[in-house]
Amino acid sequence: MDKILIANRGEIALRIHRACKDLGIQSVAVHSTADSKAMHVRLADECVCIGPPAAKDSYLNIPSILAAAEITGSHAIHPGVGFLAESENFVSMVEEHGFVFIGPTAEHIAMMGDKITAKEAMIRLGIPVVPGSDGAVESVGDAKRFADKVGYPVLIKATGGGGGKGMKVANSEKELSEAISLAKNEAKANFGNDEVFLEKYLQKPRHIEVQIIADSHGNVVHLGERDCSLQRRHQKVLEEAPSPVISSQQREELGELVTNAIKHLGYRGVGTLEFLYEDGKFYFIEMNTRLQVEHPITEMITGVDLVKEQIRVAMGEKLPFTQEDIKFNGHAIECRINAEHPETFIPSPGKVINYHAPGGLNVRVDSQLYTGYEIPPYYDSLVAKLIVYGKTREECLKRLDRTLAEYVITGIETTIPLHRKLMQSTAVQMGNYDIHWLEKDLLAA
Amino acid sequence: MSKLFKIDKAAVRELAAILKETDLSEIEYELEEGRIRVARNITQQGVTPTPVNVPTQVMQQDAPTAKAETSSDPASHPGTIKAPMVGTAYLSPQPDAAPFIKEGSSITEGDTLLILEAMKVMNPIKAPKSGKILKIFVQDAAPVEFGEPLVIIE
Repeated sequence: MDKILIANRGEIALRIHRACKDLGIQSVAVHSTADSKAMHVRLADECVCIGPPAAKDSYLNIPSILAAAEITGSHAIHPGVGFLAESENFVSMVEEHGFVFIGPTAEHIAMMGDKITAKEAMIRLGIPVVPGSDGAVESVGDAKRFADKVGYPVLIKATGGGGGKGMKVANSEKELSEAISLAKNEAKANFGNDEVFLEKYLQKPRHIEVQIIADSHGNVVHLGERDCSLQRRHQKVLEEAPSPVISSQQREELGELVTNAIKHLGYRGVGTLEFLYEDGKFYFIEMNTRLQVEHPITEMITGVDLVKEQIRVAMGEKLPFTQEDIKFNGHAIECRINAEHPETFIPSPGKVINYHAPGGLNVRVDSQLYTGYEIPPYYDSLVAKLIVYGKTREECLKRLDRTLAEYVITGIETTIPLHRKLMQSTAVQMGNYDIHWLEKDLLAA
Repeated sequence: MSKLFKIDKAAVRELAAILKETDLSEIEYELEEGRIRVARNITQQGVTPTPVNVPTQVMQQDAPTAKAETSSDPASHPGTIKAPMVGTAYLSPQPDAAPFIKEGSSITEGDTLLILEAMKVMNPIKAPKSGKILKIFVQDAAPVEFGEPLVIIE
């Protein structure tokens, strides 16, 4: 594999470019006209403009991406995060045209892309799931029967959904009918599919996910968990590894359960199984069949370069480690820094006047920003990931506090002040928070 | 898809001198670093970047600096036709046939200017208006990116 086309943008494209170069592989950056001056485009060995700014005409434009792969003689395509990373249609077309897709098979992407089939697969594999309706809910009567069984509150979820859209809570039977039609409408609008199912609504769960990686020789390894409970509108804001509330025994048990399931599936590449955790119990909610934004914190505590290993697995190589080789050292936290006002969250694209990233021992910044860079308004607002490691959680928090104070990004609004507020909160200092805390407690105050 | 490459000023000057001396209107010369075409009575010197699928990897990129632009920006001419897609440009209907258009030829709206091929599908690029071909930027069998200037119709 001499040349990889990066079918993505922003900080993740830069991340992939770096892994390519570390492996001595040529990188090809495809970009929209709005991203001509993106850092990864400037650094890549080759670049191809694939369309106008709108994602549907560029980063989601499969023929354009495949044509770019063809004219550059690329061997493989890395889909990054979001966009086409979980499109089984894209995987099929990539492979049909003779390129290697850096990721799992179309079959596994399809299986996990539909939340109902994903849950069914996990049940068969012995993974605990959130008690839910068996399959889609067709009528309000169906829904009532199920809700009576598991008890209120219940959550109505879109089958083909994600990103927190098409989800509505019904606290009692009275609210059920309306919640269902609202969820269906939102699902239809966002995903073109109004199929919904029901789950028991957990009151104060944490979001804990497990990273796995599998090669095509039957070796599956888990790389521990990440606690991603600090969210706003179902978007992760800050993540930490390991979770402050999980014991090493729990880690081992969950890890073993998960790796056995993935082995059974014959899965290949990286993947993350997301769970809700409440009262000592784990409940599977979904699996992401791709790299995740927050992968760096796992890299910091295990020493494994996940993107490099992803590429190696796609090349057919064996993982260079077994489960016994993986040791978890220290603590890592990632702050997602968005180009948004830290209180109103109004997006703030535009020119970065002054940029100075923090540094020092165990400080990592994954960002596409540079002085003079113009953040385009067409895409998501993530502009930097500040990742900090410490030998203990306390050391990590202290270092993070220092680096946030050192970070300079002027000319645009960023959520750095929000992260500084998080550092000062008792909840974060004690590690005592659930998935509602950030919105209901910190921001509402 | 332009990448930064070193412009051999000395070579260009020498070619320009030869042009004048011999009263030729155009010289195209292929060096290791790329192809140079020098023409008289056109104000810019067209320096053609080597297409990226040629194995000689001589496109050095000093990161991060601005990419070199040809001396007058082809994209800003009002009659510039830009590539609507990514692909390989073919200037003739078949490999041995005559090209669709030549610089200086007159064309009618709807005439095929060139073909952009992607994944074995041939897409004819048609003239949006009638006029004269002022300039052809793209080489036969060259890779082309979205928005790349193809021809100027005046």
